Amino acid sequence: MSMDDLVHALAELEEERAVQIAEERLDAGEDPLDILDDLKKGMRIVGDRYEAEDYFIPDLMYAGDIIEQISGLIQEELPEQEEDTVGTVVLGTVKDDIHDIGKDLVYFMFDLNGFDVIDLGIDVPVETFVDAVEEHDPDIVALSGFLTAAFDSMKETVEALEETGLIEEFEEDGLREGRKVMIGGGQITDDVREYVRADGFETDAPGGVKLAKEWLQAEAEVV
Amino acid sequence: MMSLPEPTLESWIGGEGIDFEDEAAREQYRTRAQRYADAILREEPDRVPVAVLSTFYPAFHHGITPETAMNDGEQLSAALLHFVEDLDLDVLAWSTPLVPSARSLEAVDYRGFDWPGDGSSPETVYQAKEPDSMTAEDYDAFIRDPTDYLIRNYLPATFGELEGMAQFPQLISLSLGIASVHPFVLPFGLPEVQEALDALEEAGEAALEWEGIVGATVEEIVASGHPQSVGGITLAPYDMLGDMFRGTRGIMMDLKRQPDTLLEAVERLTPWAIELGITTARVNNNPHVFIPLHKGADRFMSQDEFEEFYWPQLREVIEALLEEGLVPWLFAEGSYENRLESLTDLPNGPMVWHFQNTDMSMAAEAIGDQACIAGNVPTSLLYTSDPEAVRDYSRNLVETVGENGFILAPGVGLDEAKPENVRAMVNSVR
Repeated sequence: MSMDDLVHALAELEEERAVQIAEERLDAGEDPLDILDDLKKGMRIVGDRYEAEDYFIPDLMYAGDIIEQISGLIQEELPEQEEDTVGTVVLGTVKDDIHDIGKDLVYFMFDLNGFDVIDLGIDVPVETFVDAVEEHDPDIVALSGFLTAAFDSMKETVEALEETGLIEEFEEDGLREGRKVMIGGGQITDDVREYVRADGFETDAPGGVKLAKEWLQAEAEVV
Repeated sequence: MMSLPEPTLESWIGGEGIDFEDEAAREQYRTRAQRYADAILREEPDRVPVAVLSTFYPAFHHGITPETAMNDGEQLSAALLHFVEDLDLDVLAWSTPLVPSARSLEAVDYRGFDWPGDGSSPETVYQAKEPDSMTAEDYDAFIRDPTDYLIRNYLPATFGELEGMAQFPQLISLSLGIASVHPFVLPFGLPEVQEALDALEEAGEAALEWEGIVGATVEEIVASGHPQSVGGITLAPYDMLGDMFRGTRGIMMDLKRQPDTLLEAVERLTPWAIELGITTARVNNNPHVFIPLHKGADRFMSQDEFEEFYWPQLREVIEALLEEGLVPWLFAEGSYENRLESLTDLPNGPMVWHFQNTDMSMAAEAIGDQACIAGNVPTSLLYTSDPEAVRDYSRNLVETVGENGFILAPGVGLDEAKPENVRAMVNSVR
């Protein structure tokens, strides 16, 4: 069995085969971290195919489900460990909005791309965001929402973060220095971004990851 | 069987069955209905009609919360009258079941949605929760007898006060002659079944009362000369299964893990979706059948999957409604740009395709010679921008799609929006 088999099985969404290979490799005493690496490689292919519109949301979810099953097998053997992260994201669906599917996809895509994601869940009060930002010192605050009611909740959240000095004041003509705010959801447009005083917006999860990476890279170049 | 009217676009234009306030109201109604129908038929209306598709917008505009709107029929009625007067509407794109009475939902402890005061905050609109009662293993029972599944599985799982419905007799038991009677009536002697029936009685009375207040106001609005553009309602069979039973994640996993079973279930639901559209249109004596499309958008499945699990069954529903003289109003939420090629194979007949995020020039190009196009002023614009920007967007839209065969409308049903922006949209074509 070559190392690429698991990568290939996941990329092709061959559920039974992927789980079986993982089981066999674990039984053979292989380092679970290598298996995890292969899952990430496979998922990167899935993500690329989604962007190329060869794969769709059901495929992303299916891949996520397969990974979850295999991670379940691995967790038992994996020691607690600190991983190098690309960046930290505090994520949540804002107050008065209970939609979680988009938010969960964002979590999944960020997580797989090496971000440390703190998921605050749905219908998240403004204060909870403020507290979490204080505690986790994220590079990015990602606010999700599906309803028009979310626009105001997003705005209130951003205002509270500005007031507490946890993010810079909004720059009309460009990005904030340092920590940035990203918003996302089916009804989000640039008008909403401006209204909310966010630094950027996206309407799908892989787009959000891309934008976050661009921000972090630009920040790194400045430093 | 109770005989129902059989509405058509023609009977709707004529205002058949409406007790008009006066002759002027009748005239106004006909002018407006004709304008709207001309747009649908692509027969050069005197100007582009506007349909302010709304859910809670009338309440927000009137200064009451969604919680008040769902609890106080009198205030909701006042809000509706205010809404119609403020905008001098071409059509009333609203219907009573869109804002049900909270008391009715509470009486049966409906768990399918959160609503203001029960799960959502008072200022927030209702929100669908993902269903979780039907598992991937339940398909056999569902496909065998969907009605039985609805009564004895769906009801107890979805309504806290209807748990006793799990004991409801299987209707097929009635086929045993005199030996049927005891097995059929016995469950009604059980306390849990009686409690469920009590809850239904209470909910039914609340709904009836709501209809008497809010429904009567809608009738009053129509009788004063405003045609209603929402009559019946149904769903794409795939959405029916996903929205109500399997949930978004569940049905997406079925698409991957058990596609054959999923297809069988979707096909099983197709005649129901047809029946539902026809019946709701007839009950309301209004030919416009609203069909919101939830789970068929561009990224929600591949094009091949759309062509297998979504479109053929939806097309069958559209075709059957057209055969009954009804007017399907497809509301394509999200983006349908990849789907436009499939849609070029529409059945013949008058229908509306209402788009949210789809590029409107692409839509017009693809199906503008077969159907009336509606949409797509973004709610984000109506909520966050100013009248000038809304007017520019709306006029640009009319230019893009063309003045014939187009209905100007918000991208989705309006909740919160600045009234001056909504007015700007409405006035942009006047």
